[in-house]
Amino acid sequence: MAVVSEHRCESKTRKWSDHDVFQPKRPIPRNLYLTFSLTGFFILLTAWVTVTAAHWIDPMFLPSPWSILQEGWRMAAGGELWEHTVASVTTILMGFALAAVVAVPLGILMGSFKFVEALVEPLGNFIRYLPVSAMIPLLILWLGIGRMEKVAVIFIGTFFQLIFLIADVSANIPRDLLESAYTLGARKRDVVWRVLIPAAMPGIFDNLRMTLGWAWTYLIVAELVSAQRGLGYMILQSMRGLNTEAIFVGLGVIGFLGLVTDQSFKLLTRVLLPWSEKAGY
Amino acid sequence: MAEKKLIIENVSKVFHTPGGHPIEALTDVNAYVEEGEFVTIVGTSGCGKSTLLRIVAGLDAPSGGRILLDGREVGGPGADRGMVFQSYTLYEWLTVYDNIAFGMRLRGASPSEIHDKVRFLIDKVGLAGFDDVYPRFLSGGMKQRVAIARAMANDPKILLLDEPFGALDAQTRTIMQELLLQVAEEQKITVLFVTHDIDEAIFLGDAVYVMSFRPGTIKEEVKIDVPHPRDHEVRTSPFFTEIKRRITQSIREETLKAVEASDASARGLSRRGRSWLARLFG
Repeated sequence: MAVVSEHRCESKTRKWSDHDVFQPKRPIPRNLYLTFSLTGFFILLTAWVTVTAAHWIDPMFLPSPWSILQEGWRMAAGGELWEHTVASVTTILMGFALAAVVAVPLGILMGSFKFVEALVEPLGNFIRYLPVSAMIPLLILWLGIGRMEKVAVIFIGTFFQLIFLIADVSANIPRDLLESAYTLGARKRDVVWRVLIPAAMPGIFDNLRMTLGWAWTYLIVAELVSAQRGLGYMILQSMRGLNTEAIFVGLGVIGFLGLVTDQSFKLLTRVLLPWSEKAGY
Repeated sequence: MAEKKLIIENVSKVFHTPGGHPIEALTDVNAYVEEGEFVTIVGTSGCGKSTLLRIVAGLDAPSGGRILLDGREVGGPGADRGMVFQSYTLYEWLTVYDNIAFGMRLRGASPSEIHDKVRFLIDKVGLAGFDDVYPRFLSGGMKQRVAIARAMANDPKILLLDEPFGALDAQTRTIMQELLLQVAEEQKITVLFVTHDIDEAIFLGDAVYVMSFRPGTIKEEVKIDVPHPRDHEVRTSPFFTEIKRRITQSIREETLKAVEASDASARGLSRRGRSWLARLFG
């Protein structure tokens, strides 16, 4: 018997190394992960620096990273970058807050009550599939090319997506969770306020975070079509002046703001919903 | 003879599936639970035992018959019938303490009353020190202990449990059974407990109802004359083994019926053929 088991131990199965990066789905150490992440950036940056330094591409099409930084610094010092950024952020926050304030309660009602669903869903689906960009001309006609028009674009773009996403969240709250409340003496109103709404919160936060990302797209489209300020307007003006550096500065700022809002939302989830799986830790 | 606390009288339930034949889930179910008694219902999966418990809880309405609690007919759900579900139903946004206090707060109990009761129950279910912990940090067994305490905090007339330990591993399950039995013995609560686990049904029950498969009805009632308090040694006693042998035989017949029914329905489905999408992917 002993011989047999010994033989088994020495079977020919290959031993798995601890850091086999080629094994599908195998976790790798944090440091190694970080190294790969930085390598990704590094490869892109090196390629960029190389093609620009070697003058393989006309700087009018692709300026060097260094000249973009210089231009960014100049625009920031001159105050124009700040002005456009503030204009865009303010518009986004207004449009998005308005959409969220209406869509969250309506979405919860839609997911919880069939009659609200019947009332809103067919109509909402019709509007949801209309590209917001197709409505910009109409909105300009109604509201002009000022801030109200951009707020309306963001509102329409996010609102009709949000109500469906949130309806889905609240419709997916497990039935047992609501029923357990009834067996503890809750009435319908208690079930909605004390169980359904708190249970839906993490999903709602997640969808708000995602939709806020889309809001940027809608805003920039609206600003490209017609505006007097904002990052989209700045990018368009830079193209007209063949100031490619400034276009990249605009793109960089938008990306950075996206990163900041995403992280703030995660932080907010951690502070407001510490009980949720999504809070991490 | 002790008073009959809960009476299940000629209860039947028919489900209407869209387009299909109506399914007779329960037919003529008659059962009762005496004051302070621990009654278990055991049956094969799909026999309608959970449906029966949901009807007792008031979450589903019977198609016929009625449920009497203390002689009064039961309508919808209420705090007098606390229920523990198989799935974890703790409120994730409330701490252990607040979960247990949930029902008491709903009925407007005084803070000191809530405090005393919740503290007492937390100790009873062995979760001292976990007052301020959120459910996501608890193991499955701990979650179900909180769920039991939460249902008990309302001092229900009867405690209903629907396979509460079904999702737990075998070792944790036996420990949980012992804990529940101990609490039930001490607090003299009346319990109706549904399970597919024969061991569990016998170990916990003063009486075991065995259910048949479709139509679901009470096939036999077995009194378990093992005195309380019971401990785990009971599980290996000759008496226990003999009863287990008998109930196993009885359930086996029903399970064979259930397997046959599901085979038949699978054949029915397979006759419809594979979809073009399935063909596309081999």
